[in-house]
Amino acid sequence: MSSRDRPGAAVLRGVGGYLPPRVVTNDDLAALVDTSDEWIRTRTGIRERRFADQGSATSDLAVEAGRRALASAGEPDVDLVVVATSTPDRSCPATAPLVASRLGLGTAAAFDLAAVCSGFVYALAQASAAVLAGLHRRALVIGADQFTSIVDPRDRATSILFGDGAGAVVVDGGDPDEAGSLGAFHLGSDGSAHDLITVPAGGSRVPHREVVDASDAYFRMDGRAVFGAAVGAMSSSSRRALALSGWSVEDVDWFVAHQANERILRLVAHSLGIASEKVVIHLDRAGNTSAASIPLALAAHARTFAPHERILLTAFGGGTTWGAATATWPRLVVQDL
Amino acid sequence: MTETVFDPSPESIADLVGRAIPGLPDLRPTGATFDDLAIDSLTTAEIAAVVSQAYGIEVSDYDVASLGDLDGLSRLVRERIAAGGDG
Repeated sequence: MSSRDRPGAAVLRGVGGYLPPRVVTNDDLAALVDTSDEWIRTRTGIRERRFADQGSATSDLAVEAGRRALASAGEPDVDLVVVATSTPDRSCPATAPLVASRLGLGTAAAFDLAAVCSGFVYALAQASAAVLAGLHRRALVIGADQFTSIVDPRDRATSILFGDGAGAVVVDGGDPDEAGSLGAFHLGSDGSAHDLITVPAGGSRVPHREVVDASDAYFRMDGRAVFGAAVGAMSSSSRRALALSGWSVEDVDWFVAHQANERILRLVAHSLGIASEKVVIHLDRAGNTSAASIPLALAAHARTFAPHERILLTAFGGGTTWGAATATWPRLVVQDL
Repeated sequence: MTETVFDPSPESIADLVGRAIPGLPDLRPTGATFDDLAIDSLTTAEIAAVVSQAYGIEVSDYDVASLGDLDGLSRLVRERIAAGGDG
């Protein structure tokens, strides 16, 4: 393929999200651990989240979100499936081939991408680059996590924060002026902060057979250290993506950040100079759904956005990893969550 | 549009964090410690993040909690700015 055949931009063609039906309120959790609705709401902004049923796996959530994104895009052919997740069905093999197969996508290339809560922004960047390079024609990018499979339900520091869910988009090549075009990406990482967000055991460092402390098999997070790191990284990454796109802060119509904590989102928006009414909040209904949170927020607010409106995406997650992207909202129909 | 302020006086810091953090009590009462004002651990992390961003220096939630009051925080910010910040 010559460079003249290559698209000028990667473009969003479909958006879909899926939340499992079981609603878990703050009061439900207060019956299990020492916490309260008021404590959770004032510190996080979360009112309820969804838990997948026992026996469900991340691929089940991913398939449903993928199905809805493909429907939103008009059931196109797809030759790449990327699943951003840190809760794969199995530690080996990847979840994406199973998802592709269950969606009837034949032998499309499929792989998982592990960047924890930044996973969707990372995956969207890689899929866009693959389309722009001519390596693939059309990609299904799914952020899916079933954090209830790694969170200790007795740990009140983490069990109140996370919910299960999946969100997906379809991306192919088009024109930079089209509604839905993706602008610039900025990605970064800092492995020296590897321990801030972690499941200590179950990998090659501490294999299952060597687990001494059972709590090491659960998710762990240094919340206060993450707070500061997340605000700094999302703010600076957002500034970089805006600069690369040639957008000013005033150009941004909607700010869709990883839905971890409302106080983090509002602080990042404040630091960037983005008005609070432009901050999209979905965590009140879904909690922190990790890699799923950004596409879920997009799907949930699809009726709020108008075609061509300018959206700034940003995320921070374990690794640590972070990223930001600019996009315009596409002209499409999104199924309600 | 970074909110850059160069004056690290207690009044400026109180204004800055008051604007950034909704619902934060006024930090200015003379002699009041963060404990007196019922500043919890999450709020110390927020104050640290706001001050770090605004002055281009690194201040941790631990710094804020251990300094204990606005005057201490102002002194630390002055010192870190004098030491060159992080650019």
